[in-house]
Amino acid sequence: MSIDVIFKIAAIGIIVTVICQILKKSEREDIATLVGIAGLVIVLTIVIGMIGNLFDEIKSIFNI
Amino acid sequence: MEIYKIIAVGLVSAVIVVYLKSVNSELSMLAAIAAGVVILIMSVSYVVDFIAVLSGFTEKTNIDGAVFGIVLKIIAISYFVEFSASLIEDFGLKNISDKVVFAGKLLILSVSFPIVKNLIEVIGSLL
Repeated sequence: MSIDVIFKIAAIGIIVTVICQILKKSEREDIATLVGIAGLVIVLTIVIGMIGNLFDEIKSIFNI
Repeated sequence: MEIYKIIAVGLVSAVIVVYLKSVNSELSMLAAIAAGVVILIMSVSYVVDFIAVLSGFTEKTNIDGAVFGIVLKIIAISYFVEFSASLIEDFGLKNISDKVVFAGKLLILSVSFPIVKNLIEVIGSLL
């Protein structure tokens, strides 16, 4: 749980942007937005998982 | 020294967030949240041994455990509030983060009420 998560998110961001550009150039705007949404959902699940176990860790430390 | 690792993580994630913003994807916000979480998780491990030392003191000076539990709860609440308030402020929503901070203060006040109560009782018994 160190810096590699952030690199993963950065990679997803770059890949999604590249794919969206390609799809936009080939006049498939709708699929481009879908790819954008998919990227967003993936990163959202990662981040929410991280926040979840951050709060669990704090709870376990302060034994609430 | 551990602090170098945390500084390195902060700098690298700042660069990544700025880069993602320039690629103008919404992921830069999520990358900022992830960076905050990573740094907080790294810093949480220091609090553990601090608490062990403190609880050792409470046994020695026979302060009852409840007071120490309340102090711990207050630290935990401020931990949560600080994390979420600065996060919300990152999104530019200043008023919502102020409300979160205000609610956190109220919660800390309500949690620390028993201490105030038995403080007053002690003063009352002295008079």
